[in-house]
Amino acid sequence: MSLVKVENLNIQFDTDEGQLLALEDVNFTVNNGEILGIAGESGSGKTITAKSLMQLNDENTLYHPNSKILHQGENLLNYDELKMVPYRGKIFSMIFQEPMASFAPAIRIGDQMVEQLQIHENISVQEARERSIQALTSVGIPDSATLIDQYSYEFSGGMRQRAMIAMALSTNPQLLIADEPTTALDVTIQAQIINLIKREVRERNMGVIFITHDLALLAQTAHRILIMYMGKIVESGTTYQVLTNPQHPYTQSLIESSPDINNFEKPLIPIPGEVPLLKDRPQGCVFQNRCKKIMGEACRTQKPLTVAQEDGHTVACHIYHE
Amino acid sequence: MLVTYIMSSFIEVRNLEVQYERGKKNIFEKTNSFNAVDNVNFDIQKGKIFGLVGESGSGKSTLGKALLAAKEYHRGSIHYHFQEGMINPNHLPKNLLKLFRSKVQLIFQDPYNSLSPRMTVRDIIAEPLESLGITSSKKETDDRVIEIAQKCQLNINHLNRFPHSFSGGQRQRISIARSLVAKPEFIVADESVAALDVSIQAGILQLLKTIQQEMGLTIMFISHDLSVVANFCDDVAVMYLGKIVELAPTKKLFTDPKHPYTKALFQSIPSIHPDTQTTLQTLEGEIPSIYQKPQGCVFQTRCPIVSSRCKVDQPSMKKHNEHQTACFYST
Repeated sequence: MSLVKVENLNIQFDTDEGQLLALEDVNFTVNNGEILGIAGESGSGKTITAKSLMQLNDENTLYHPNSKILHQGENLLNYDELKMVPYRGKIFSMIFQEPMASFAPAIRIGDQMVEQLQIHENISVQEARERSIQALTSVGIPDSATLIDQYSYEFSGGMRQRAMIAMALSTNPQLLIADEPTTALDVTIQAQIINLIKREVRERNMGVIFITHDLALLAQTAHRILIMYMGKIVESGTTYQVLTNPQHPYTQSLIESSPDINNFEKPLIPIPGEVPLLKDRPQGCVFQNRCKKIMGEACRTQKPLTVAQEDGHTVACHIYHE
Repeated sequence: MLVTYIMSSFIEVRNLEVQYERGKKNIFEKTNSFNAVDNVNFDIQKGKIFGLVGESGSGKSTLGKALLAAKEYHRGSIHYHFQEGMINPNHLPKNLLKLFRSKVQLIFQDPYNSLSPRMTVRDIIAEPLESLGITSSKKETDDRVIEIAQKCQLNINHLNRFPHSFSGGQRQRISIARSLVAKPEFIVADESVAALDVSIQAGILQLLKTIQQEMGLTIMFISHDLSVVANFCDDVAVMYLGKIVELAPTKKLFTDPKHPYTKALFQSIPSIHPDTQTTLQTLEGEIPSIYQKPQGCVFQTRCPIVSSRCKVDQPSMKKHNEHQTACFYST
């Protein structure tokens, strides 16, 4: 069942250099019990997409009037600050990239968890504390009844990220947004965190948006993948479709540049150049400057349409326009 | 045996111990010290890329610092065999230290914090030449800067700009140019591609490899990303709680890991093929604090095949062909 539906999400940033397009026609749905992966380089709009679900973007963000973020038939973009409160920790919950920076250093972990629960639910401190201890235990923090009174600096990186997840899950959210949740962690801890998220998805039937630049992580977690470049979804499909039969030249290049532990001697091919700045957004296809399959006029002047194949695999590239 | 002694390696590390002291809680407490690097032995051959992997807290960076003479070591020895003679980086006199610094350099992890925001790129790259007194005239310095900048694929018309106008990948190229401008023979690259996107990371790795082959550089490549190490290095050492537990040529290590820790590490690497794994195997728990290093084998607290012997005796490195492992039960 569809949990959240994003339609025609267009975002501009109002800056000194003018209004810069940051997201262009982003459309996707997240279903219950599904992990949706979003991948792309830094600056591709992954985090902006996630933050717009909770409307946490900076004040200079302009949403296009036709943009919709639908939850149970309601467009969240019409909501005011007060109505958004439940979408910031209760119905939607978020895990951030930096477990070091996401806890307040001078407040005990437990107090931060209790505070969140009390904002979203009408419960006593005692009850909130018990729920928090349970949440910490369920993510594998040993002796959580004692550790709940510690500060975040007393936790290791892996424990902090688990505590972050415990806090995000303690309100029983319908949607969990995980923004690079394992980037700062060792592989062994990363594997623990991933297995934990997968288990929680199974048990709670919640939806997850998993943002990462690591395609291998998505290969092992996501049901479906969106590949983003310069604020546009250039390819989407099931994990199997996107990673074993990539259609967009950008997806193909991303896979070619990624190391592969099963074939570790394969040459890693860099993508030439860099993601352009927002103010240098190209006319036509956004990927044209770095595309190895660029064809000519059409790529330079016309925006490629998103073409859906029968099996739901979509791609936005002129190669497939014939 | 005799032959191996005569054909000495470029860098020889023997029984190396690096200690840190833990702060005293009060003045009556005895100073606590612990070995962040504990009885480590290895050789690095000239012109090779030596990979060092392990979790945070395993002592990788400390070992790198000891090799760079940025951290004194307590016991054991490090010997560099330069053409000018052998150098041991502990307690170097000033004149030798300058020579050493021109031959051994570091590439930092974070391309954002490792470049001074108030210096132009030209000045940043030229700094080692000036502070080590390698060049005698401004012209010579400029020539060297331009030569290395071109090698690192930097646009030489942009050398008068400041670091903030460059992207992460370009900054890492600046950082590499600075490390290489004094023409060192040995580079320690500590997580040097960790902060970059894969598409950019591939370019930096390619650049490092090209330059390494051109200049005959020897590199110690410290990383927690095993897929990158597998792709980039000639030999790999696996560290755990200050000890090297396994050391082998890359292909051998990744196709036939012997130590239970190495095996567990490899099983937790996600594969980019969606159909190859269903769940990642994980190690229980976390690396113990270095203050609570267990008696016996360092890996006993998380080892799936631990026995009573492991809790008493410390396994030493056993060599089988070129493959070394420190485990009683490695197969």
